[in-house]
Amino acid sequence: MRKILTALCVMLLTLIFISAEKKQELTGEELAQKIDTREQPKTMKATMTMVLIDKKGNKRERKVSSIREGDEKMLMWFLAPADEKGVSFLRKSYEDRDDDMWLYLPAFGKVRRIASHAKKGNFMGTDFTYEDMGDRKIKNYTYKILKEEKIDNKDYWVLEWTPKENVDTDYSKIISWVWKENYSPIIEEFYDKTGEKKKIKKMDVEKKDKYWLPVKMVMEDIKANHKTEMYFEDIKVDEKLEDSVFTTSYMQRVR
Amino acid sequence: MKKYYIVLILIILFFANVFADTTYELRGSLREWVKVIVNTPGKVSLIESRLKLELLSTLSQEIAFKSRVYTVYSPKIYNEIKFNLQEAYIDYYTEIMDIRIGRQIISWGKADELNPTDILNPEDISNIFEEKSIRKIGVFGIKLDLKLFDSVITGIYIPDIQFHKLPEAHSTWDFFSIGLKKMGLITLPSILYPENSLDNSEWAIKISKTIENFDFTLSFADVIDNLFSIKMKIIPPGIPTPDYLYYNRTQMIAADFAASLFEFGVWAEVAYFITKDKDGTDPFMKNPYFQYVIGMDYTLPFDIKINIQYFREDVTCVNDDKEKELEKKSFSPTGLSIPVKQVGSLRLGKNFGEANANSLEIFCIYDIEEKGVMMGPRILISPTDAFKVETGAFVFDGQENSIFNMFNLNDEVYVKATYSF
Repeated sequence: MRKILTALCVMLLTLIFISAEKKQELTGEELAQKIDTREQPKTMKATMTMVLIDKKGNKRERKVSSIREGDEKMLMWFLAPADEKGVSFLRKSYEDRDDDMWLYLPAFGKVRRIASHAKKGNFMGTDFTYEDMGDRKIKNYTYKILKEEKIDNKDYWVLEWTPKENVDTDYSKIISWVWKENYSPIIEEFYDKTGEKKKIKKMDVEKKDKYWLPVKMVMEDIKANHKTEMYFEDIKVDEKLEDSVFTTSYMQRVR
Repeated sequence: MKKYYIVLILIILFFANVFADTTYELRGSLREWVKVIVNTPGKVSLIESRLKLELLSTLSQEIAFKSRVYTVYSPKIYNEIKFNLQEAYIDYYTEIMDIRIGRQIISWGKADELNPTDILNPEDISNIFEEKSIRKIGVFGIKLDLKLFDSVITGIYIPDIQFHKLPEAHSTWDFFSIGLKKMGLITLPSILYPENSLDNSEWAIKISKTIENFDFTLSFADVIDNLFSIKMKIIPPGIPTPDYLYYNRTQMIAADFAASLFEFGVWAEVAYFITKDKDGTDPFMKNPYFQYVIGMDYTLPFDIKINIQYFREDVTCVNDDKEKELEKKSFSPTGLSIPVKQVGSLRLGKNFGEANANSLEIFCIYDIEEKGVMMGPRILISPTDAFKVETGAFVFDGQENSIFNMFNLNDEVYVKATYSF
């Protein structure tokens, strides 16, 4: 009798332990939330070199400087090539509506608002679209963890992002490999509206102070057989920035 | 002009010694442009070499300098090398205000090319197919941008008035003489320029604000016209004859906006020009008039970009029908000075090739009232960064009396090559 009771207690405890374990398992939404709230610098300044490589291996180079405040505000301006120098791009993100985006073209001396139709266009000839450069709002997607995977001794969650109805995006879904160490989406696959894989983004991150920051990003357009490598240099974090930096007046004077 | 430039350079060098963190940057481009008239095979209408040099200097976080100089050799238009200091100014930035002093380009309005509110810089329209940014003539002025409660209030004072530079009389693109002929005038008398005094200064004020996804602007300007009016005299036995050409003062009340609506980019500009002929007594001076433009752009399938605009001018009426007809034909002295009253424009373009650096585009402007059209297809190839070759055409057609039909023997093809450094 005692043996039976002991066996029952063990079974019950095992059952409780399993259900508790199950409760602790991360859901897709929770993982997306963790990606969104992972520790990131309040402000970041960097210089980026973008190398555009076509299917024959021909290369073109663009150099830009950027300043960002969280994921909400970003100002970027071109340093090279010579005919793009002085062009600047300002983006402001909001929770409840579409991003505001402006482009300053020094040849016209004019700031132009970029309409949302242009979001799907390539940013200055690179493989990144304006949408890719923007802030992906987590409330616009539903999530599913597909599996867990180990690549090169790193543990990942594989997370699928599916846009909700009426969300204006170029993609039917995005699959991210989220590094368990720091919740950074290290690899991302982008699928077009027909469900075909369109692009792959890979990112190298390094720890600087308390933050995991990108040092290299590669966006490859599989269909066009074209890729853009982006290298981050001179990264400075948490420097105080005036609000006036993220204005259409300021974007005309950056050099 | 050269002296003025040298003085500015000396000022910069002086400041450079005062501020240790000075940085300099020299950049620019060389553009070669050849145009040939198709209807007269072999007739070259333009051969031009244009060297653009920009000197930028940052003396400190608060002070910067910029200048842009064009050196142009264009034997078909000028007989000598032209030196044009388009911009040379000093910027001083503070937390609440930015100040710009010197020769400058001031761009107003949200529309593309057809900007009725963009009146502070006159234009050199001796080559009407030149890019607008190059056509603009720099003016010496003081500009203040005051940042106040999420708005920017811009004030401009221009003591140095300048005027449109028109094509040579009876030259290939002398649209002005053609327009005057429509008014029944054959010869033009001499121009009486306004005195260079502070009384003739121009000033303007603008308030800009972004509300949600709308960028709004309201503005007022008090300016000397960019284009002259005609003073008539009556010679016996009562025939009106041009006496002299002169420049009037006009006030402009204007508004514009740009927005992103349902994926479309939309914009509009409206300007009301208050001329001196408020009571409508002078048939050769325009009554107050409205000019407005509305436009939109969108990306079609296959990444084809479309840009559509509609422009219209309406002259206010003062119950004098005799004057009304003549005024409809006359040039507007400020705002858009083109001799058309209602036009639609369409631009279709697609980028292609490596880094999307090449483009194919067709531009078309249609005179809705007189049924005339100008088309401008072009292809731009960039085999490597900072080097572009462009070829295209300008084709004219329309009903007999339309301004575009009057150029129908001027159809052109061109080649342009630009190297930037």
